Amino acid sequence: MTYELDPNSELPPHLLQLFLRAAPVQLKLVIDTCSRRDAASARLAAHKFKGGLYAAGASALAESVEALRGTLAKADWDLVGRQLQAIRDDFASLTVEIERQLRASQP
Amino acid sequence: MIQRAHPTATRAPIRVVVIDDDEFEREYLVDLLRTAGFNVSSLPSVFGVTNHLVQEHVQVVVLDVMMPTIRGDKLAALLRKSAALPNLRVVLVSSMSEAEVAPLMAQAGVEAFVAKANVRADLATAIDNLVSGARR
Repeated sequence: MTYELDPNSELPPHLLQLFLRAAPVQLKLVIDTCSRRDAASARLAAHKFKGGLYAAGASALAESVEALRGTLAKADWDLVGRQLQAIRDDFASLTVEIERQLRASQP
Repeated sequence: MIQRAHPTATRAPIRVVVIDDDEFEREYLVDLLRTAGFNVSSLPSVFGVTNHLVQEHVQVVVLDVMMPTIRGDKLAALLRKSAALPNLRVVLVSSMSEAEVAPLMAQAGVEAFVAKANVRADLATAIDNLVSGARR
């Protein structure tokens, strides 16, 4: 499945590479803190993850992460689990799209 | 974006520093502002910031709010009090909401905020407007 980026969100290759290096680490921190049910740390990790998603042109996914932050504030862990799975799925699609852009940018 | 209104802009000589602990977001802002014609440097943390601002004659600081060593609004308040930096202007950027950032801006004496969701569209204009307002 292809992730649809924001209009006019094209990044140069060095930023695509940086995103592919940094964002999975940030998502893993969100997943790890959620699995520990550490809501405060998970909200902070999600906040950092969200900022990079906006920069990458993935505003819809960033909004999903903000919704997760709201759920974490209520400690609704069942809903956290479902939202986190959807975020992981969308992030996988986003990664595929960013990798495709990176390949297309190379001669 | 929360900002005072200044209608005109002169872009060419504006010297900007981006301070953000996140490498991807920092480099993204640098690329965005260089493409828009600003003279941009960057720092990954607040260490050495005052010396950098003075030596590079920086006019505008773009500060992330959520940084590990000191929050951007707290750093902004310190910079605003520095006698060595009387004309420095500050733009806060964050993925926090405007409602969350507004009281931080008021406390720190910061004139402009751009949400990370709107950085691509609004940051260059915010900087232009800050500097053109300061020149009056």
